[in-house]
Amino acid sequence: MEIKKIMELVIKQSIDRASQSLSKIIRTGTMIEVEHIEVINVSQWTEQIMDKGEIEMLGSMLSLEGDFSSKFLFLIKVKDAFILNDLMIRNSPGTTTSLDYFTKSTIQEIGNVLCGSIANTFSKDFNISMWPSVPLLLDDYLGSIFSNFITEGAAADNIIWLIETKFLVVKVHIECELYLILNTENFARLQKLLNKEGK
Amino acid sequence: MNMGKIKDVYLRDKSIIHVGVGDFKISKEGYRLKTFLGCCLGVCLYARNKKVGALLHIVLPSAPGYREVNPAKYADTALREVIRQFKKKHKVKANHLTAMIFGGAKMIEDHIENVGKKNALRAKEVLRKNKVRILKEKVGGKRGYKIEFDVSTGMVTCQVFGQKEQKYFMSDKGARKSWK
Repeated sequence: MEIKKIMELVIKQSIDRASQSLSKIIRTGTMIEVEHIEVINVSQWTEQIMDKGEIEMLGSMLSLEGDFSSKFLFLIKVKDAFILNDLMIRNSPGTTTSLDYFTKSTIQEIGNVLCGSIANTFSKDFNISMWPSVPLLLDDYLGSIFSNFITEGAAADNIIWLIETKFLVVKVHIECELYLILNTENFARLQKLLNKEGK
Repeated sequence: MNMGKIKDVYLRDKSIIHVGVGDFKISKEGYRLKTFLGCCLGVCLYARNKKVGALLHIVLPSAPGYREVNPAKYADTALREVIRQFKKKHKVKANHLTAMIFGGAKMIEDHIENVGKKNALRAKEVLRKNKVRILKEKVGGKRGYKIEFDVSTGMVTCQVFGQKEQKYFMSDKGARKSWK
């Protein structure tokens, strides 16, 4: 099977698990969909991002360490983060009105849970070791968060594998985004691993 | 048909050219160059007489010599390439250029290495070597930068996240005071 298709399957499976974990935590149904799994040119892709770069966002950024290192970013608009925080601490949506310590912790924790679910699926399916780092919180322009994310995940690479997903928290209609950067070197290593397994 | 998308296309300002991560854009008057910076460095270069400007989004200080790289990503190779293009395509010598440097924030406090600072040092080194005058330097901090460079007027608008917008002018006289 083509590597891209295998990746799509594993990513979809891991996103499903992430979605289930998140639904349990916030006790509200979430639906996560994989938008793109593709090789992108960093400069061209970020040029498009810069077009809407002025929005204030909250991001939870993690590194996936181990046999198959990659970078993970969970993104949400600040006003939507307030609602997610209310769901997390069992308040009625609309209670949180400012970006406080609890909201920041909520976003960090959700990033941690989602990244952990993805790492679990990858390590089980590919029989490799992977573990997430401590989540870092970024509160800034969308453009600046992405600039940092790319620098962290692919400073020296110009071509990367990008997995983009969007998810919807059903009851309150919050839209969040989730990105995973895999550098091409790691992707080639994964391909080798799969070929070995196939034999 | 998605009306939201159509509206979005019509509302988009076509005079704005966005500069992606590890890229640079050179433009004549009539356009504004725009980017957002985190730990990366933004360098504006301007040829006042010809009204040609460039905005670079630099990721790392120096290009490794051992492999083929994207020159726009590194301070040394990107600046050399832009200066070369100014000379070749627009007949502007390096010593007729003025520069402003922004960005290089340390958004992640846990990091020991300060890439932003290194980028700024390397960029200044290359600019000085090529006798390009640096009119303004606003580097560091913990928050991202929004940079908009109007090539027609030579005005650079810089806004650090959560702070007031500041305007700088790409001429010796104007650079001493910010525009209101």
